[in-house]
Amino acid sequence: MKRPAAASTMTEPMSASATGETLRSLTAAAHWNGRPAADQLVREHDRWLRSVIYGITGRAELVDDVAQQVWLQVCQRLDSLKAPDRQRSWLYAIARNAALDLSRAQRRLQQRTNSLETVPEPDGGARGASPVGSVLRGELQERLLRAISALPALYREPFALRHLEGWSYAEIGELLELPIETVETRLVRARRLLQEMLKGVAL
Amino acid sequence: MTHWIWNDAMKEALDLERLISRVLDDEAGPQERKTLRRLERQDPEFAALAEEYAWLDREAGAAMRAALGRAALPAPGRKDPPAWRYAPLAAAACLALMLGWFGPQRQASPTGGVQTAQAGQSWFLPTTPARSVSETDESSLTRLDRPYQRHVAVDRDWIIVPGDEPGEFLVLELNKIHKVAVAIQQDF
Repeated sequence: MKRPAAASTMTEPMSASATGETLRSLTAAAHWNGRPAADQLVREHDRWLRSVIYGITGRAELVDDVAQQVWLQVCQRLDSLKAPDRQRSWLYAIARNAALDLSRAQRRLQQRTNSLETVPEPDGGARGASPVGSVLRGELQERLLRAISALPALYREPFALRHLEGWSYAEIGELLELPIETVETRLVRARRLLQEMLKGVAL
Repeated sequence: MTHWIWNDAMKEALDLERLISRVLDDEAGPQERKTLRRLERQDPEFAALAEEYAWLDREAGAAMRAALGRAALPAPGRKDPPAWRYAPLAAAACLALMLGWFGPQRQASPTGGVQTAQAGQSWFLPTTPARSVSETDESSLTRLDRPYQRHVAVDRDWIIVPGDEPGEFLVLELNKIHKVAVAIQQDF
């Protein structure tokens, strides 16, 4: 299995490996300083973890829920982190498990209950008086998000990381512990599935 | 039993999709990009497919970022411009520095002429001090007014809002109304 090469640095958003040393020092500080350093951990790494959560769940409305669960667990289990070099993988594992747990809980809830009334989606007043172009744009975005949500998580996760974080194949492979070729193949299949699902949508 | 026949046409299609994908992800080398451009010139169908994938990529990325409240990513594949491109900017910076150090020291005209910078003051400094927006906003908000959030179709029992100090959090407990329909079956 070919391991990904060392990732290149990026300025913004944060690259997968450019702040490895920073993450180690922050975690070490968190052990001694408690909350302030943990707060900084959140600020430094919340963004890419949210991208991971969206990639796994496929639903933007669940990201906040899962992210809070993740950071609570991180704060509770910080003392148990022994290997500073595995911190990114440790954070990813917590986020992945939390996202999968909530996804499963949501699916079970939907299977058991049938709601007579559905809460209307907030539209921000866009549909009432906006031009036709804005309405069509909103509908296109909804279709795209539904199609992305329908992707298998296996393909959606690298697709989300690529588009939300701008990471390279090597960086994605390093986080997901996949060879670069596998990351590439999954992105190809994600695009193919989206293209098939959205056939006929005007360019 | 289904047997997959991996023929040359399928392999070629996958290779073409992989090429398009690598170019879209800024992972393709110069030779691959050249190959893509050549294929686009030679085959209109391939060009249409590549354009469709590019459009899909742009729109899907924009939709995800909008859903998560993110700004657009910087454009990929942007190479550093050659040094000579910085020459006009460098010249403008030098001019600005010179004006700042050696700017006009004219006295105000008795007849009320053009307002000039005071001696030792840069021309580019704002005339009024910048007002802190946060000071204005914070003074008009009570602690319970922050933040305003609307949550739809979520199961959270609480909301955690970071406070002003590191390590300080405001925990809000939600009172939710559950609407559940239970099927009533009649047995005879």
